[in-house]
Amino acid sequence: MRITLLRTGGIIPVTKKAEKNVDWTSDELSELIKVIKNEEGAGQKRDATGYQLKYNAGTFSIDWEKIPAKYKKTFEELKDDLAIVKP
Amino acid sequence: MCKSHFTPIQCILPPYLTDKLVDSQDKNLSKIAVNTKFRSFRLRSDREFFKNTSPTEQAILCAVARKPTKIPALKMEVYSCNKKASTTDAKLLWNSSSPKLPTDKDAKNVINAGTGTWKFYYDLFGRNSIDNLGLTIQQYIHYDKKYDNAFWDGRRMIFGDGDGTIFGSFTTDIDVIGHELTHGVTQYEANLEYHLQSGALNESFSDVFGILIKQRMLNEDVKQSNWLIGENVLLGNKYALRSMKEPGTGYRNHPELGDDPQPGTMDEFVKLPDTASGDWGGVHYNSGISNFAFYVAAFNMGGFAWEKAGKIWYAALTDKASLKKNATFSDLRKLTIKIAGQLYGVKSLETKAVKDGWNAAKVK
Ligand SMILES: [Zn+2]
Repeated sequence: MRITLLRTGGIIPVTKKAEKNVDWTSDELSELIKVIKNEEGAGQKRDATGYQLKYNAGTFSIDWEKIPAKYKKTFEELKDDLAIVKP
Repeated sequence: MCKSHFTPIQCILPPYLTDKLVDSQDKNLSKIAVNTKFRSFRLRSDREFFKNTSPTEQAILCAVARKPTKIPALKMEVYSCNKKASTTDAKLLWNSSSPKLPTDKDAKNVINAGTGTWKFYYDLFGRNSIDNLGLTIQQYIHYDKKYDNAFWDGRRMIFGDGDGTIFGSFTTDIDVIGHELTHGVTQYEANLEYHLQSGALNESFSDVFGILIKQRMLNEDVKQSNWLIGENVLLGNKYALRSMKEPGTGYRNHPELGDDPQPGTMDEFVKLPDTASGDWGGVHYNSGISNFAFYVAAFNMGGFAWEKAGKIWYAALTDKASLKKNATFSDLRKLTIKIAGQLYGVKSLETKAVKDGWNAAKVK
């Protein structure tokens, strides 16, 4: 399955994107999303950036801190590959 | 100033005696008497003026004039995140009780601009730090690997090193550091909701005070300033993050970022979804509108922008009774015009400049 990591926000709003094929099943991804899904809202953060995970079920805001160790490497690789989406 | 200004007889003389002393043969005594009459008149007229002001007007005047009796001291700490995306294990590089500056260039940058920001708010408005209660300013540098951003997390400032290609270190611009610190000030004052028009105002207050802090540190007047935010962090001589003078021209034809999307007038207001990916309804886009209003107002007043226009905007930001959390551009227009009238007179050049600023930004 192909997944996309998006990073949005910042002091000037820039969208960054990276894609990767993973051998995770849909059920596995659904379980993962339950763990890492973040409630949208800026809180008191200003100019902060945030991550979203996109796959065939939709796009979800995620909490990086909640990514289980098992998936950390994949997400770190995606993060290293993030590139600006040209407007 | 003459020495007799402080003579105690001035305080105890009844008015009829003062009148007599004005005509005294003794030149010193008549001088004292005239001074006494003048001061008494001023005190009476001040009292008369204050008696007729509303609580809101009093709050505005006090916010501008108030200075604590005990001189507070700046408290600051600088930490290095050592390229980790966390502040938990950050290492303390410097605190304000250390006489020796660190060797780290980014640390020096945030100490310099953080000190300038603290002094700006204290010297001009008597404000003691972000919360006006002496909060320790905490600045975290070297956040994450090649992190191309700076942000306020609700308690502290966090700065990335940039990717080195498109962005340099986010500590290289005084205005960016002032911008982030001002998000803290706003949080403790009007606490403007971070979405839609109030979010754009929140962003704009940070740009306004960010540029004023830079102008004051560099001693630039309205004509000397280029009114650019982040002219160093966005690499390349012709690029900056934003232009307050000409919103939408911070960068043009940038190979990666394209064109600066900021509008400068209300008829070009950008409508985006109120989501993280929609920049909470375009808060960093539409801030160009109130940035432009401020620029025109300040420019038309002339001189140093922090002296008059900055004072009006600060009085607005700290008037929690009038500036609601969900304030609109129109609300800030009304409030700044009202404050300018109270501080400088309704028919003053300053009040006209504020009106002209909002008119130029097409905010009614
Ligand atoms: Zn901001």
